Amino acid sequence: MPVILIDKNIEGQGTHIWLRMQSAPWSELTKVLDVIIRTFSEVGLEDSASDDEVWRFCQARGHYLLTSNRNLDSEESLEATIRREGTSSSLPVFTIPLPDRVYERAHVDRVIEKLFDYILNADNIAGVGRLYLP
Amino acid sequence: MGEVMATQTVQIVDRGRGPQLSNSRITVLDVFYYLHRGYDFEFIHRAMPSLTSAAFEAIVAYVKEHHGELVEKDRGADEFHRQSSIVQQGLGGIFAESSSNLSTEERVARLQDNMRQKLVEKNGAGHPD
Repeated sequence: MPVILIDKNIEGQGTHIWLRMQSAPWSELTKVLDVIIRTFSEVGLEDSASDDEVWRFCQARGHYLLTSNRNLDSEESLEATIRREGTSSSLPVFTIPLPDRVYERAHVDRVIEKLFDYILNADNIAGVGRLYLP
Repeated sequence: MGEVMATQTVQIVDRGRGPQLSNSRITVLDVFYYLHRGYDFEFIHRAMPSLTSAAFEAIVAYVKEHHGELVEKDRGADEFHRQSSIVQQGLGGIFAESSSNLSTEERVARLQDNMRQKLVEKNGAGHPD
C-alpha cells in the first residue's frame, strides 16, 4: 500500500489532495492503487522532527514524503539530506513547488495525475531524489 | 512557593536547516513564500493548520528584520525548483510535464489505460509461447 506522508508545511494542501482523490472521478483509481495519505500525527512523527529524521522515517517505512520544502542551502536541509543519504534504491520525495495553486481544481487534478503516474511506475522512480508535481 | 512559572513562547531558531519555529519544523521560508506573494494569515493557516497566530507573529517579526535576505532565498528556491523541474521533464516518459489541456476524465482514462497495460505486461500477455 503506497503511503504518502504530508509534510507540516503543506498539511492543508495534502488534506485537500486527499479529499479530491477520494471523490469522483479519482476515487476508483485511488482505491485500485490502494494509495493513502497520512499526516505526521497519524504516523507518530513529532511536529518538530528534523529533515534527516523525516527522511529516514520515510525510507524505513516505505513512505513517500509530500512537501513544498524550500530550504536548500543549509547543511541539515532536506535537500542536503537527500544528497548525503540518498541511494539508487531510495524512495523519492514528491515536491510541490507552487503550493498555493493546489487549491485550483485544474492544478490539483494535474498533481494527482502525476502522483498516480509515479505510483504506477514505482519501480522506475527509486533513487531520483525529488520528483516535482505536477 | 517562589517557583517561577515558565511561559511557553514560540521562537525562531536555527537547527541547521535555516530559521524555523522552535516548536515545529515549519520554516520561515515556508511561510515567507505566502507572505511574499500577498497571502494573509487565513490562507497560510489553511495551508498549515498547525501554525498558531503566535507562531505567525513570530515569523512576521523575523521577516521584518530579514526581508531582503529572505527575498533572495525565496528567489533562489524558485530558481532551484524551476531548473530541477526542467531537468526532470527533459527525461521524458513518466517524467514529462503533464498536459494542461486534458479534462479530468481524460486524465483518469489515460491512467486507467496505463494500468491495464501494466497488468498485461505483468501477466506476460502478448508473449509467444
